[in-house]
Amino acid sequence: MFSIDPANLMVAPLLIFMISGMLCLLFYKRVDIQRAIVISSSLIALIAAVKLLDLLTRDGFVTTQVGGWEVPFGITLFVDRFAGLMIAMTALLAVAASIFSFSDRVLSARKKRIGFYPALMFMLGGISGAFITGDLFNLYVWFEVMLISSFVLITLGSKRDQLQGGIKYVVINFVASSFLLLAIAILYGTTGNTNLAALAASLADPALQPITRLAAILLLVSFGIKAALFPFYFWLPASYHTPPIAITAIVAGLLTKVGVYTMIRTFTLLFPLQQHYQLQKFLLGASCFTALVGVLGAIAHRDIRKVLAYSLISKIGFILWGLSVYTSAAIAGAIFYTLHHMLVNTNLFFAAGIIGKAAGSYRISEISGLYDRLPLLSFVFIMLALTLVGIPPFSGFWGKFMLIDAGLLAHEYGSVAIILITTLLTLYSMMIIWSKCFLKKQDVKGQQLLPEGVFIKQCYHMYIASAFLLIVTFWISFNPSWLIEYTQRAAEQLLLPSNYVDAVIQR
Amino acid sequence: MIIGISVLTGFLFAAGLYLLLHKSFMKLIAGVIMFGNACNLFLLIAGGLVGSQPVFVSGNDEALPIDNMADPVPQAFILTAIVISLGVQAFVIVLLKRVYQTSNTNDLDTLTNTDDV
Repeated sequence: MFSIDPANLMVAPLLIFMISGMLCLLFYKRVDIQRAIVISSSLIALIAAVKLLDLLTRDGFVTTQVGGWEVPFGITLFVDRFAGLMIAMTALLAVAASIFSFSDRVLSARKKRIGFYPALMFMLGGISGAFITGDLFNLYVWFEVMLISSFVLITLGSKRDQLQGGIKYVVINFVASSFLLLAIAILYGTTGNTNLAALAASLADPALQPITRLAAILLLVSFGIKAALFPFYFWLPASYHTPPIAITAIVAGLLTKVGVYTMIRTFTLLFPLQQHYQLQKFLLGASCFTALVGVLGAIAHRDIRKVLAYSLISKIGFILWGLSVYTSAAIAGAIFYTLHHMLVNTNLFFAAGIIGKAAGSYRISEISGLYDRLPLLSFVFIMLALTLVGIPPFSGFWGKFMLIDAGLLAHEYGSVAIILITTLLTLYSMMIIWSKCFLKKQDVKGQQLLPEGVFIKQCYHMYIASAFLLIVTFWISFNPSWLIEYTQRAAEQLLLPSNYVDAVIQR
Repeated sequence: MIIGISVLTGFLFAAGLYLLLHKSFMKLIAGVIMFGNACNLFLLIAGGLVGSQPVFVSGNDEALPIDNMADPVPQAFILTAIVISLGVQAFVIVLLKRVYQTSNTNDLDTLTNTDDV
């Protein structure tokens, strides 16, 4: 077994995605070559990420200085267990999304010819970069790489609705990035650093607090917009349902989670919430509202993609609630729930894509009788719905159990009640789809659905991608102990920011 | 000078935000450009306007006196931010042109197709 330098392993997913994006641009006219590049590079990135995860079990973190510059001057790369888990999940979703997008039914061949794969790869590269960077300005740059690629993905094909959703998405994300830039300006002006470790060391000085608190609020707003936190979430349901479902699935699975990741990173390392009481209270309230408003939107809407987009918002509330409770157990639960939800949410969009292609519509009122004609799809959907709601023994239950347990131990009874009510309402919103689209008998006079055997032959890529993610979900569901333990250790790491600072500065 | 640029930045923010919230497409574009420029100027001021000499090393490897040297880091940040905002602005302009072609309107308030229940 040959050994790889940990620093090389850490940048491997980023480099693989960026290089394969460039290769895809070289073979711009040859979609078949692009497909081969995309699937092989996603698989290699997944292998590298899993190997990195294995390494982190032992060491806890990997860090390096780009170009060998000394600490506050160069760009630091830093991966701890939390970042390692996120990179691995990104690579896993990249594999699934590339398989899913191979089907011409969910993403027309024309859209693949006009640059779907390069944009996807650059977006994944930007996401990996945002996970491994240890420098605030570098984070801004990766955010922009990721956002501009996602702008292209969301508006790819220029349908009227896509463009209209695209405007809202682009403008609000532009404002969010500008806020990040303003926060960087304030932090650089007061401390002379943008390196996260050096910043964390300087920000411990209470004399700076009156100014840096402004930066904390700007960061909260900026990442809150990207993560779709309560008062800032309106762009998400306006844009996420408009692009083809293959694009929606990967964008919805990944982008908001990058916002969540940076938020957890910022408010454990730079501005630990136990020292910023008002921020913690704001985040607690905002995340409860996010959970409730999201699920109410999911109940109100009658388009499957919009229901899923709103339920995504509601789960962001769960995760950030775990952050705002701010105990080791709660953050572990938040990390577990993030990973679980990335898997399940992407897969639910896959399932919605199959429903949409089978029934020819995404509107709940126009779909019926799926259970009679498509039993395999029904199995996948009900399993995913139950996992999302958190019925034991599926992975949603373990994540929710960790969160609620931590919340009760921290005496946050009021917000625990809100989270539990939200769970119940999520069940309701999923059961609306189940009873109306699946169980309701099909109208005899209406257009008949294809039998599932014929349908699977037409779009086997979609079923393979969905089954792949479902197997991973089952594996986590029935074998959760290693992941729970891993997330607990990741949370302990996050709550000891001094270790991060020492690891970077004393190299 | 610092006060002058600060006031200018404030005006740019105000104008940029007003135009961003305006319903006309052209004003939205102007708003995006102004807001981006206001952020860049803010970066320059917040980084501290110290010194007026550019950062150069003299040809014969002597260290130049640093007391009147400008801080190069905010300038590097701004340079990066300008390049990025150029890309975003170009994208926004093309996007709005396509929206105008497909929706045949110049009024953001009428773009409500995506908000139907």
